[in-house]
Amino acid sequence: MSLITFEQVHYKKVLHDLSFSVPHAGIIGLIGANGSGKSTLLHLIAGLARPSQGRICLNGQMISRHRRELVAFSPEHEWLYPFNTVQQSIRLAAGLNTDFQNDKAEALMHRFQLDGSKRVEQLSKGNRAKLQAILTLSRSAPLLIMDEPLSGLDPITREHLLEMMAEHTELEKQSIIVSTHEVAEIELYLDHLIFLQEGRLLVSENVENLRESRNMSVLDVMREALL
Amino acid sequence: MSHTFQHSQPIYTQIMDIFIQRICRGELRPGDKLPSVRDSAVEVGVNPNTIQRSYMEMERRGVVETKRGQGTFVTTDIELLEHLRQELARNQILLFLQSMKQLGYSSHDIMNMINCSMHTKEDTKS
Repeated sequence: MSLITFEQVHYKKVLHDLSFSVPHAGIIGLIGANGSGKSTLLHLIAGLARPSQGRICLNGQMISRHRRELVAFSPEHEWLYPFNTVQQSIRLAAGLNTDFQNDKAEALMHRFQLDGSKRVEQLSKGNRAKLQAILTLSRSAPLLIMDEPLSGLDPITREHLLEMMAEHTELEKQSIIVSTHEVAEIELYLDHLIFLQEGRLLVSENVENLRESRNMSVLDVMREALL
Repeated sequence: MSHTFQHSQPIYTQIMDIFIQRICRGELRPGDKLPSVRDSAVEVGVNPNTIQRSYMEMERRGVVETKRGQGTFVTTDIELLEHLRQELARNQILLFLQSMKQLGYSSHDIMNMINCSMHTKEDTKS
């Protein structure tokens, strides 16, 4: 059974006739320029928006609303309360989500050297991004969605975040979708690639298959698709 | 083991090559435990599933074996490892000969040049 299936999905004037399915793939990259419909697609998968036409299934079930036990969604904008401390942010996430693993969050907090007593507003942008990633990765929902987790961060922090995803997504039972336009950087971490352009699907394929069948890197595939 | 990969080839085969080289060099010895899939993934900077796939491919070739619940180990079949090493060496030589032939060198010239290079290298060493 596929993880995600889209059947002729339209959404307003943003997404046009999307049909594809993604297997339980591990790390899935959603790539596309600004305004290509990435965030909208993620909202649809998370059940936070409904398609104007068509069907979307998650794990074989049609989705009609957001279900926390199925999807952990980390939106593009910063969503932490600035007045909470790191510890309080973790406690809040644990209280809101029954699938939250406190011990994992604590371990990641120490591993990435976040000071639990610091308030969110005192953290650097990089550390706020790390905290958001920690709160998402500590969920045991079968699908984690992170919208642009790398945008606006320095290269070292981006690398840390990618390592964190590779190390802490429970790939045996979890998949993660990450949207970005930093293809070259994320390419090696991906199992599956979804490539959108102006609301249409250009590519949805296993990344190693792309390399094997076309002898091309993901970047090359994108260049070719754009020509 | 920081590495630049050729993005036009499957990453898992390239990772497999790295491990096989380490085994041939003796950095990983027969019976040694390979790093866990996650540790390797973070070390190399790739997806854990990619590492998993290269471990599986090495297992298929008999280079490593996975013991349930314990991890993945380099085979203790020394004959197989030696055979593998010789095969890799042969491939390298064939590749080298091919390039030299393309440059128009005869077998005789090639032998002379190799001898010459070996001597200079040994001289600079001492």
